[in-house]
Amino acid sequence: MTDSLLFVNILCGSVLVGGSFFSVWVLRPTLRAMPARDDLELFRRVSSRVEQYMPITGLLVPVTGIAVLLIDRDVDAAWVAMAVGTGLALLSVALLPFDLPIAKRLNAMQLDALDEVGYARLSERRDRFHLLHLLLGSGTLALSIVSALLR
Amino acid sequence: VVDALRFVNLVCGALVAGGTFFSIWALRPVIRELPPAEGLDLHQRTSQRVEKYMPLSGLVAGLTAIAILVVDRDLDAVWWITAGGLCLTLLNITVAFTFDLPVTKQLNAMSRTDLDQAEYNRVSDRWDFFHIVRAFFGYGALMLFTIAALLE
Repeated sequence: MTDSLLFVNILCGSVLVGGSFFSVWVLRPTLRAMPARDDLELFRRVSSRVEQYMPITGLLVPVTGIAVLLIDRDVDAAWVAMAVGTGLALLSVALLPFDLPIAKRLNAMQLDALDEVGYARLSERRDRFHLLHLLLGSGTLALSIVSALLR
Repeated sequence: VVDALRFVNLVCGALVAGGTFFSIWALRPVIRELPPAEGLDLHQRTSQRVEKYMPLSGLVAGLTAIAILVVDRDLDAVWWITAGGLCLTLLNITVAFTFDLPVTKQLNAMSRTDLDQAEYNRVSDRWDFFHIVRAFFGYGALMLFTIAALLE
C-alpha cells in the first residue's frame, strides 16, 4: 500500500516538477522576449491547458504524502524525509492565496488596451511565484525519492 | 552508490517525462492553433532553450541506469526492471536521433517569411507524432525506474 502511494507521489511529483521546469526555463523566457500583448495572449492559452492537469497532480502529491505518513507510522529516516517533503508541498499549496490573485488580475487584463508597465510588474511577480513553486516542488520530489530509497 | 545513482536517474527521468508532457499537452496544441509563421517562430524559440537541458537529462538518465546495472550485478527482479527502464530509455534516444532530430532540423531550418504552409503542417504532424511516441517511452522508463527504486 505504502509503495503504491509512493509510486503515485513520485510520478505526480515528476509531472509537476518536469512541467514547472519547462515553464520556468523554456516558456517564460521565450514569452518575455516577445511584445507584452503576445506574451499575455500566449501565456493565457498555455495556462488554460496547464490547468487541465497540473492542479490535480499538484493536489495528489501532498495527499499521497500524508497518506504514506499516516499508514506507515514508524518514525525513521524515510518517514522524516517524507514528512519534510510533504511539508514543502503543503507550503506550495499555502502560497496559492497569494499567487492566484495575480493570475486573476493578469487574466482580467484587456489585450487591446494593455497597460504594459502594469503587465510587466504583475508578470514579474507571477514568475517569481512560479520559481518558488518549482523550488518547493523540486524539494518535495527529491525528498520523496530519498524516502523511497531509504525504505 | 546505487542509491545515489537511482536518485540522479529518477530526477533526470522526471525532467524528461514532465517536460515532454508539458510540451505535448500544453504548448504544442497552442502552437498548432497559431498562424503557421507565428507557430513556427514560437517553436523555434522554445526549441533552442529545450535543447540546453532535455538531451542532457535523457542521456544522464540512460547512463545512470547503465551504471546501476553494472554496479548492482544481483540479477533479481529489481535488476530486470531497471534493465527494462534502460531499454525504454535507449528506445527513446534512438527515436530522438533517428527520426526526431531530422524533423526538428527541418523545422528549425524553415523560414518564417516564405513559409510553405503545407510542408510546415506535414513536418509539424511528424514532430508531434514522434514526441508522443517518445513521451510513452519516457513515462514507461520513469515508471520502471520508480518501481525498481521502491522494490530495492
